[in-house]
Amino acid sequence: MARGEEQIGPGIPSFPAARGAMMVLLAFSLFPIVWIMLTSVKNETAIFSIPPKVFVTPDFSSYWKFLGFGNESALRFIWNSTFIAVVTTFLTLLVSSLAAYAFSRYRFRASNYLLFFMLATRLLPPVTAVVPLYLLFRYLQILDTRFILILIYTALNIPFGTWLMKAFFDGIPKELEEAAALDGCGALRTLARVTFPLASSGIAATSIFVFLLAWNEFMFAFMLTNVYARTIPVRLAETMGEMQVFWQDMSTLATLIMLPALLVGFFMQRYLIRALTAGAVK
Amino acid sequence: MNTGAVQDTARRGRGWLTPARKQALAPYLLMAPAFIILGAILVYPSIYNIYLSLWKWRLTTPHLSTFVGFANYVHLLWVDPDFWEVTRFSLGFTVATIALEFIIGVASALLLYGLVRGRRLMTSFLLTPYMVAPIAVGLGWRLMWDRDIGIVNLLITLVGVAKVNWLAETGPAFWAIVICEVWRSTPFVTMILLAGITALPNEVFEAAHVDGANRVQVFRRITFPLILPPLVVALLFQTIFKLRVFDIPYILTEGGPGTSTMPYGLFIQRIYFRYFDVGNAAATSVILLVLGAGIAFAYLRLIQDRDG
Repeated sequence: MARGEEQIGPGIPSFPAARGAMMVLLAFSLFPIVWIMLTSVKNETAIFSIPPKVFVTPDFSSYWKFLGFGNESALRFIWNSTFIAVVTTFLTLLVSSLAAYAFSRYRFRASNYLLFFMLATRLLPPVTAVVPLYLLFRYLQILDTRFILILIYTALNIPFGTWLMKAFFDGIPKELEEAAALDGCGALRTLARVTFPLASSGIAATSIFVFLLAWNEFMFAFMLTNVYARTIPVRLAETMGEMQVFWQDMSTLATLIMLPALLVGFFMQRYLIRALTAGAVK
Repeated sequence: MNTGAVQDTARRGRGWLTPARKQALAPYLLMAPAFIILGAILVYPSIYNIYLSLWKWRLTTPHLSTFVGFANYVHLLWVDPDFWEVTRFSLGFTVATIALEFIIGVASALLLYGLVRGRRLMTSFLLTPYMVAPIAVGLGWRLMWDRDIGIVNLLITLVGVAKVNWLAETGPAFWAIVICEVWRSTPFVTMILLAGITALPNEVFEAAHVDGANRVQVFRRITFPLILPPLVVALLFQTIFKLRVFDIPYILTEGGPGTSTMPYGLFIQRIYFRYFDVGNAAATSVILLVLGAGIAFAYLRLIQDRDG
């Protein structure tokens, strides 16, 4: 469409004020994130100066502190978060692809009820599980392990993952699998060589979604871990309890939490939007 | 080949596992891992909660537990003033955030759709707040709401308004949390609406245009009714998510001042981890579960009506 040509659309925008409104929205969306990053490279004097300084000589001392190997190193928390998010992503993909494949390819009596039941569990408030799970894990003596967080995050993501993967499997014609079977492919080989490669965009969408949720999760990690399995969001929240507020340290930790999510989200945005809108627009 | 299979099953002594039965069992086996994990982590706790909520006991003194029937519920609903304050906050928070997200979401979706160039880039920018950890962005907003060094107070003093102690006063703290949550989760509404509008056939708008409808009329008479179904679904989803809010109130106010900005999650956490009162925490969970199930039920009914 040529510039300046009147666009026929669903109404309202593209009058001159729309451009201004867009800029306001953009500033509102990005400012808090930029502000955190900026604060993370300001030393205490710069943070407390009024009016606030925007152009400062960057001070990366707190990054060296958290990413180094010293007393205050945050590498252990970053490692915990990474490990938990990656394993959760794999486990959720595996478990929900199997279930989704069953829902997509087999017609059986209980199928609709099971799918309904599975989706219904997603709608329940997860916080209600905290008290019983705490008692259960304490009894089994597995509180404060990465294992329980992986299990919980997987459970929280299974309904959505299954739903999403089922939609992608539904889009793959059954005939392709039958052709592979005729050519002598076994059931597992057909899955690995034909079905999964064709569902790869679905797998990408599901992985990003699950990874971000597991990486960002705070509540369960906060309540069910205390030393060994602490994740980086819990480490950040701990700085709040202290009497003096160290803005630079906190902003640095916040930036370290945000960076991977921003990178993943920005470069794989197409898949993320697909995952977000799949539930509602269908 | 057929005889081979027969011999095989005969050797293992499992004659009942015929190929047909194998085929019938396959889907259940494929689903088993998913349902086992769901059962252990989400279904079992819901049932165990009901049992726990009928007892009075402390985590620190489990041997002193006594069966009290519905006393915990009576305490919460009729004695404990905090429960109702928490409920009031949750209700106000849900209404305020959803109203604001609705308005900003519709506006941003229309603005994005109207963009001729750079729509993809702009979409990624507007989506950013939804991708980052709530605990991290909560911290960013805490920095901005700060009484002494916060950018918000700096801006309002520039126009001559007195400084506000945003996070320590009841009213301002409520709005500080609402605005932070609106900032974080509006992109979800925007994305769903944008997908909904993009899916609409362009001919409808062209026809209306030819008939001489202006932009406002096109929006009110055509676009809005057409995007209403995905909009309602998005808003119901958001209602369910608002009941779960935890990270942002925790990092901004820790539920304070008093319990005026405390969501259910933080309330349960406090009863359980600070007062070690298992029965009351479980009873609160059950009430929240019923509330959540009610909203979920309404949501599922709506979906069914739409499909059927």
